[in-house]
Amino acid sequence: MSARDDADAQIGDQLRFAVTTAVLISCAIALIVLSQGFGAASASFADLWVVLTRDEALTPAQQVIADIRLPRALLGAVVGVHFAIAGLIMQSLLRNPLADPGVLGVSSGASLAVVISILVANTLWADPERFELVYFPSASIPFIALVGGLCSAALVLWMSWDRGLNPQRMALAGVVTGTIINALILVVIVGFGAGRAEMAILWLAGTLFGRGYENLQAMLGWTMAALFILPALARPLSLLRFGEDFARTMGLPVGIWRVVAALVAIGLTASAVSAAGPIGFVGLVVPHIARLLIGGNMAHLIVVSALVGLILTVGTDLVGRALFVPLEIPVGIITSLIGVPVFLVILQRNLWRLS
Amino acid sequence: MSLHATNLTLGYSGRPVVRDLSFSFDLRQSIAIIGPNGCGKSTLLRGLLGLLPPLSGSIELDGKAIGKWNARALARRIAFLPQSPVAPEGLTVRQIVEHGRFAHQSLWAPQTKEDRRIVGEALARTGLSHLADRQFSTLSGGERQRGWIALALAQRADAVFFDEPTTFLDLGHQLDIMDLLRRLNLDHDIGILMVLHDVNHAACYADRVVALHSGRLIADGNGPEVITAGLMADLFGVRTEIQMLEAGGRRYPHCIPLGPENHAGNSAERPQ
Amino acid sequence: MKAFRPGTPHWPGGRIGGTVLFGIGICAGCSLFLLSFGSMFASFGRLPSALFGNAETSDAAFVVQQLRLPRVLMGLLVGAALGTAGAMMQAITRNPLGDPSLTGVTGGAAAAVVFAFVLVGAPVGTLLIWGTFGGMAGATVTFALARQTNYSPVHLTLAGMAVSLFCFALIQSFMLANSQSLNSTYFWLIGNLANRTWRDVSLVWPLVAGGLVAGIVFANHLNILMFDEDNARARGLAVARWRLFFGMVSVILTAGCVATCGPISFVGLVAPHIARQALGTHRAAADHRILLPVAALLGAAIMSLTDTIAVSRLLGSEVPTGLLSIVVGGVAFLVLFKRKSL
Repeated sequence: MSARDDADAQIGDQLRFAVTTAVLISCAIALIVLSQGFGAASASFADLWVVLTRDEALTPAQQVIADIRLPRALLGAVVGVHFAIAGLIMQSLLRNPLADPGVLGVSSGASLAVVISILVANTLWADPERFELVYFPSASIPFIALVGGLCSAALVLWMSWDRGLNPQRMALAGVVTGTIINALILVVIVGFGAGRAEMAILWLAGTLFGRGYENLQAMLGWTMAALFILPALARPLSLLRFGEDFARTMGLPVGIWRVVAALVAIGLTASAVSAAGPIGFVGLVVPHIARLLIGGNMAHLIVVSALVGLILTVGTDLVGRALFVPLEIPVGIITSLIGVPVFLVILQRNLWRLS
Repeated sequence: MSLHATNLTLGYSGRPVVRDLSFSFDLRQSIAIIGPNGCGKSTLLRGLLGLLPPLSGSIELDGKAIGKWNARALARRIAFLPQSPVAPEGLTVRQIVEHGRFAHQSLWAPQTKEDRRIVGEALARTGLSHLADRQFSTLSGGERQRGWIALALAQRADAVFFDEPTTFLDLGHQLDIMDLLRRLNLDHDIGILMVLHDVNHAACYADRVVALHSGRLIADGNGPEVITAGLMADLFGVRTEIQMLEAGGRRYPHCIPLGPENHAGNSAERPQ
Repeated sequence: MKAFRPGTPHWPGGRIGGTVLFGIGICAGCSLFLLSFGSMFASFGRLPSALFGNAETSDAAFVVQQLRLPRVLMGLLVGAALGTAGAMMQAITRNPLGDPSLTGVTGGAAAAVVFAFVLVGAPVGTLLIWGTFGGMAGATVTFALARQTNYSPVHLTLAGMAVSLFCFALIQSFMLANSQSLNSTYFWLIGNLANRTWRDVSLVWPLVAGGLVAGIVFANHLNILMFDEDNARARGLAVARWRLFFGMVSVILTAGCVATCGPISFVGLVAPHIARQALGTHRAAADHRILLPVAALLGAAIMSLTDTIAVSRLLGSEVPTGLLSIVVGGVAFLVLFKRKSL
């Protein structure tokens, strides 16, 4: 093969990435636009155009788009990106195809911290006259969630440590820890305010229902920080996939980058959880889909995973709203119904590598 | 460029595996470490790479303790190929080899033309140019090993350390790989340090052979000096016949195992 | 397991006696507490009159006989059922992590029960049958997945946990699809002993009795199943058939609990382990004639203890027992998991 063919093949790889990205971006935009016209109150695409371009008195339908549907779709998009990239980082960092913020108990730990913070805020400041929940300032919630996520991640790593990290053991310890923490969350919720079963189940399932620009704002700072770090993280992350010793002899200070990567992953998870609750399995499924689409190049994987995560979350939210109108199925339930079978397929296919 | 060990003791969780070694390696040479299973060969290799801090004693590369080197600078001096590396899924041969450039790249910067040239060169030297855009997982065992060597070459280090580079390969590929390493050493001035299982590979392809037994250095010298019937008995507990062979103007010993020291065949008579 | 010969009893009677007394003590103490205290009235002294009084004339008698007594009995029965089911699971899979909730049985049964109750509108009496089939389906999927590694504990449990996660996502969507029953189903879903009636008791006790009798009568087969497969076969045991038999028994026991009290996790895992620890010696702990009833007794003790904590409002308001059992049992699981290096 001549040097020219070489160059062609390389261009082929770039081309495949470019085409995939273009198609995914179009899909993402189409989905977000589509989701604006959908719901109890009917709205046309012309309404969306008005909302986006003009700053004037809005009709009720336009108001619905501006205040409810658009923030919801945007939130879904950002949350999807967060979970997908967190999943990709965890899978590369731990060299474990089963890793995911939900599977490893990070989401649950973050949720518990948030729930406890609500409890604390209410015992401190609640007005007994009014039946209304009080919250910490919304910008602080991601930090609270981060602490919870770090603690549960540390617990799971410690539990599964047995002369090294076995991927299957890690997943099992994570799933059980997640189950326990979810039970604890319910204990806390029931213990302090019975009769909120519906809110509890909605929140624990992960939902985009009833969230607004405020949640989006609290999260965007984290998205920006991640976008800044990720280009630099791509190569170290790629090297970490080769194993500790090998990565180090290729010139990577492994310890530092492991901590950086873990912090980015847990920070992305924690901020997403504090905005939308623990939406499970997005982080597990998306990197595998991305790898099928464009192969194993880490820089490409990051971009494509982010887009696929966005499409998956906005898409499942749309399906959940469309399936049993006027009822709504939370995103987290649908992602679990899709994600668990995928988890099992990955588990069965990688058995030789996992144990 | 040289690697000095002084009273080096290495081990895991306080238990020494390699004890009190002192030596000096000229890393432009081709050096082989041999010894029986569990003698501490791989532990020594990890220590020399700075992956395992010494329990006592010191290792110095060019006069500076190996632990003080930062990973990047060290990677430009010494590359390493582990015994059974696992490739991440979905990468082509070229993409795998590109990882070798990490120590020469800055974090936010994209790949440069120079990077691409060096990767192409590494692929050419290992004879993989025609397979560059194949999926790594579709390669045969021998081709994969060449791919890993290309990765080490792309690192442009002065020396490459190998942990048993020929395990899991058939005889033809074993010799093919050993020959490639020899050529890299002679034609491209890349120093080679390898842990070897096969004594004859060491004798044939290394300038200097170091023998380890129970964590101690028991022989050090060129092939004919080290590979002797007496040492084979000490190292592996086998009786051997040593023949001198000649190839390319070089004389080297070849060791033919006859059996364990107290083999049943030792006594001519059948036990009654 | 080399020196074990079934049928040669050589147990230190004292240890067994002590364990049994301990279990009975906890059960009795917790039951007395649960019968005496509650939101209506709370007194040990009035308990006898309330217990034996006329429920139609005395409020106290009504509360104790119709509300608290069934709850207490259900706790004991469910605990015993899960303890037995867990011990059987552990024997047939030779897996220290065996438990109905870790092998997809509880999840499958719960999904089937919610489906039948919420979407089909099946009568309450048939829920046990739905639960049994659901539990069998859950177990079948789990075991089919784990077959590839010859049922390695970690793989089996991971597959089982995944199956139950899937089932609980299904349950949530069933419930949301019929939102009228959301709140009541929700409290059932997290495992609850409150508001149990005599009808529930009459459904579960024959199951527990039958399961225990079957287990004890065929205990020798369980003992032999603990050996590796070839060894068991060499002893003339139809391994597959007996595995299926005990598997069915534990599925039915679990389905009975799920159909009445909702999914209660981890009790079946913990009870047999405590039983083995308590019995201590190799032979008694490996002989299912002793182990099964002791595991059942300790399961009952764990459930009544958990229920006592739930009712006692140590944690603010009354907390569903099922949640507490997850927290308590889950932590025990993690300790076991860490210690055994599975």
